[in-house]
Amino acid sequence: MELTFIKRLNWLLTGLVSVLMLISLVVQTSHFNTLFRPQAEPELARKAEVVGSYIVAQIDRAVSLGFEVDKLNGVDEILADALAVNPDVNYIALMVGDRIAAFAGAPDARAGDVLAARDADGAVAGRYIDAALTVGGGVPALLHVGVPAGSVEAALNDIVFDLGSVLIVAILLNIEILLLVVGSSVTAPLQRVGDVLKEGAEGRLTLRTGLRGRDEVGHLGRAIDRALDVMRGTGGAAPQQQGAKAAEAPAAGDRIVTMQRISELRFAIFVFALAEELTRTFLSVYIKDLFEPVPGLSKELVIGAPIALFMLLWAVAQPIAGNVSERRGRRTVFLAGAVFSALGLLGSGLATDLIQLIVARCLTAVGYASVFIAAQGFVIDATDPRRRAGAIALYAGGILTAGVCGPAIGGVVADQIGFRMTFIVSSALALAAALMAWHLLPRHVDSGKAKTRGLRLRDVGVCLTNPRFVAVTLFSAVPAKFGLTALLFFLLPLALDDSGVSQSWIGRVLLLYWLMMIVASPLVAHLSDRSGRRTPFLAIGGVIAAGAAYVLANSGTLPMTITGVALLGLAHALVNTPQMALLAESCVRERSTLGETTVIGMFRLIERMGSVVAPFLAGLFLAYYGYHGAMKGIGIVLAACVAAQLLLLAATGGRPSADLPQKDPA
Amino acid sequence: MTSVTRRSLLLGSAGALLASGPAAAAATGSLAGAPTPNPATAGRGNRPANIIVLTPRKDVGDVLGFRDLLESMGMQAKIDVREVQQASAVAGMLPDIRAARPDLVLTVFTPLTLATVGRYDDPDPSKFLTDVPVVFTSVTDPVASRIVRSLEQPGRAVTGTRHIAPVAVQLKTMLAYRRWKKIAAVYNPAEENMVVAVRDLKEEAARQGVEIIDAAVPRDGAGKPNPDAIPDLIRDVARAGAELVYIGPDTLVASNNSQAVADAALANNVATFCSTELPIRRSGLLMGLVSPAVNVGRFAGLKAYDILNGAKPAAAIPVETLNRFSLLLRINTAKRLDLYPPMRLLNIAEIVKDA
Repeated sequence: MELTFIKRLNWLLTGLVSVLMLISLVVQTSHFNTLFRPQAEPELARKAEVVGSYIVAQIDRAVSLGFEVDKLNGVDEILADALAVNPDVNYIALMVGDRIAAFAGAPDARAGDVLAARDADGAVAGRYIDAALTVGGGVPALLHVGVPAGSVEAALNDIVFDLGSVLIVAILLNIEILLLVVGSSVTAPLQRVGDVLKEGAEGRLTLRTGLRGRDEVGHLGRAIDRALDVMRGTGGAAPQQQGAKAAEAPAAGDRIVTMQRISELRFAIFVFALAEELTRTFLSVYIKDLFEPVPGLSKELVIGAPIALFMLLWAVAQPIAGNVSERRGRRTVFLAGAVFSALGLLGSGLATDLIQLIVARCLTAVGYASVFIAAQGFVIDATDPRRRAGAIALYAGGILTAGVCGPAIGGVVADQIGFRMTFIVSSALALAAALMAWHLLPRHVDSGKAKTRGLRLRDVGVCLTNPRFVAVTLFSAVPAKFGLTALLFFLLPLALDDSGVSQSWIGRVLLLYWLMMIVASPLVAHLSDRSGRRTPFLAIGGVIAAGAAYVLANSGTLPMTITGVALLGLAHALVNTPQMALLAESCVRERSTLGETTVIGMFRLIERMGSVVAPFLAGLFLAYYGYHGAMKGIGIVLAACVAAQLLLLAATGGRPSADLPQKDPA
Repeated sequence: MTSVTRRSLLLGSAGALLASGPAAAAATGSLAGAPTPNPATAGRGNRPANIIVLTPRKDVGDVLGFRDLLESMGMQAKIDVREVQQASAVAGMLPDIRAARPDLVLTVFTPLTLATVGRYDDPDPSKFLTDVPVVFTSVTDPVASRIVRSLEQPGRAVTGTRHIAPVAVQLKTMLAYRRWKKIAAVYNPAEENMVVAVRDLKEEAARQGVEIIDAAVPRDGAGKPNPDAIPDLIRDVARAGAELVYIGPDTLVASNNSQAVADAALANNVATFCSTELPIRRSGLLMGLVSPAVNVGRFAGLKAYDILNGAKPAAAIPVETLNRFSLLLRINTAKRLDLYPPMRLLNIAEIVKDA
């Protein structure tokens, strides 16, 4: 489907939203500077003076007893004592002459022996309002007390970041809604009108737009159909030709309906995926909260279990649900899956112990597998091979968008209403997706189409004897899923929550991964296709992923964590499309004997094993080495996989020629 | 330093508050159940209580505090203070004391107390006062001295107050000043309570990883500990690496020769710590953790009040120590030793200035 129209509209709306948000940001900032700061800062400075005068009194007493101020002993300790009872003071420093004689508090407020530089507003290190009090005694001495200039600034920063996240989410939601509305009611009919008119121009007047809507587009369609009718009429239309027209028109209409349905299905899938993604930031923390000791198993391993089981059931249920949906119809399986997931999410929110949670998560996993495979099946059924890749990309885009929006929205929601209520919101979203599917998916009709043959163990054997398949699947795709699940879904939320980072912030951090995927994936696909090279992308991506794990392992600060997550997103964007291409190129023989769907299905199934293993291995590492050690361990596993993959690819020689159609981005 | 110690030290600085009267003393729990001060309250049969005080000097803080408390409680009392220079003189005074028919006797310090009531396991009515309730004040270790069987249950009509902080608290205070590695305990080996005190200090120091140098005052040819040897003793321990000299509630070393200790320590650049008040106030010792004598006397007065009022028999009143102590710090000594006190200690210390 051509998206030019939508793109233009989206840019327009996005621009408008961005401008509005920027204006509100500017207004907020100036508001803060003109109204809030003049009131807040003297108040803070006064507080600093009160704390300071209490210490100055102590030092002055010592000085009055005849002690020299620069030789006083244990001033650091009384400064630390004062800090401990005044948590909103950031640092206290005793300066004798121009040197710091004693200091307690924020390390960034000092630069060696002197206080850090002041910024234009006079705040030390740009962060602290500094109050200086004179200390008695022969030598010039000053006591500096710093209070956060930032307490107000931090609040402002938070608003900026919130607005930033909202902006990204708003843009993506814009795209979703535009795709739904414009795609189904404008673009597809216009394309159809174009086709009909082109046929007409070439003298074939039998085609009709078949548009019956009551809006302007429908009006246009009816007018064109009538015009064509009249034109044919003047050309001496025979009654039987009328009959042929009547038979053709609905068929033409079908294609429009199909494209409309895929746009609508994309939205349903987006809403459905959003349900799960909402819980992304806190799922592992929630599991930890429900933790009960299991004899013989370490805590970290037990915490990993629900996530691992979820991934395992998803992987196992997907081919089964795929088979069922071929026999029973996509609609039935989609609806059943969505209801399962809704129940599972509801159960997760209500769970009072780990067992209940695990059962609920398993139900959700089966639901997810069913919904996604049924939706994909519907798209494949409804499209001809020529348009299939684009259609699948369209529908899969909804899942990716949900990945970006979900954690960001979910983090904010969880901060506001708590973990359990967020699950219930998710459950409602899953039900909403089921309702949409109820309306848009057609009831099952046995098309009599040849069934795709199911996955057989022997097929796996055939594929696994191809070392290049093994290299791509086991050592590139599996580690990618492994790294994603272990780092992003399991370890990082736990580690960030442990260090007191808010759910909103965890959401923003996770958002970055998907954002990198969305931005970088098309670029990589383009570059890889143009150069025809795959292995370098996989190798570089693999190395960057291992590096990302290493960065995360050594990240003490939020900016480092953000860098790590962005790197991981970049790494996976680098490997994602080239993986599929290399698979297609490496398995020419297998694809011709087993069929493309089977090979890709097998690839997906094996790939998911990475997600299954991840929580267990990450939990094991965590139990023995802590967060940093665990992340480093994941990095080592990832690096080892890159090495194995390169060795295998190098050993099997150059790239075999590939001329079969490739790429199925599902 | 633990917060508990800091707190107790902080409270110690407020020790002077104790002097504000019975309300503060009530915090120790001793006044529980006692009637409110009543000006009409007096000794038996509404006549003024007859109290005899035996003390080495009339002006000791204990006696002042004792008298002050009874007055502030509105007790009508005739307090007869008798100076007794030598403990051995007590025996001769007993008939006279008995004849005066006192309602209560107050004894100050261990020697006079022991001479008045004798040991609990050797009660000889002919040699000691056994038929009158006796309250003592500023006795270091009444159990080790066999004045009472146990602190909680004296077992006879003898009770009173102690004035020394627990040894663990003393050591913590010393270590709060500096993390000393070697401390020399200078003491009179002929005083039994000092032998016990130094043994306790060694045990506590071992727990804290501090070495205690045992510096008993050497005996002269007649076997008597010789105070003239103190300067040489301190020079020797300083050479052996001692950074601080500790002196306890020692009559010979602390009460009678504190100036010699202070001078020798200063000359050898060694800090000094004392567990009793007067030596710090009178000589150039650096610091000490003490119960101010006035407060100890007040506490004894409170116990006397309970006995005279009939609230409790003396045998049922426990022997107690104040649980608040004052940190005394002599600034000039700190300056001369170039040992600036930590600000935390300085903030809570009572400063002793050179006269």
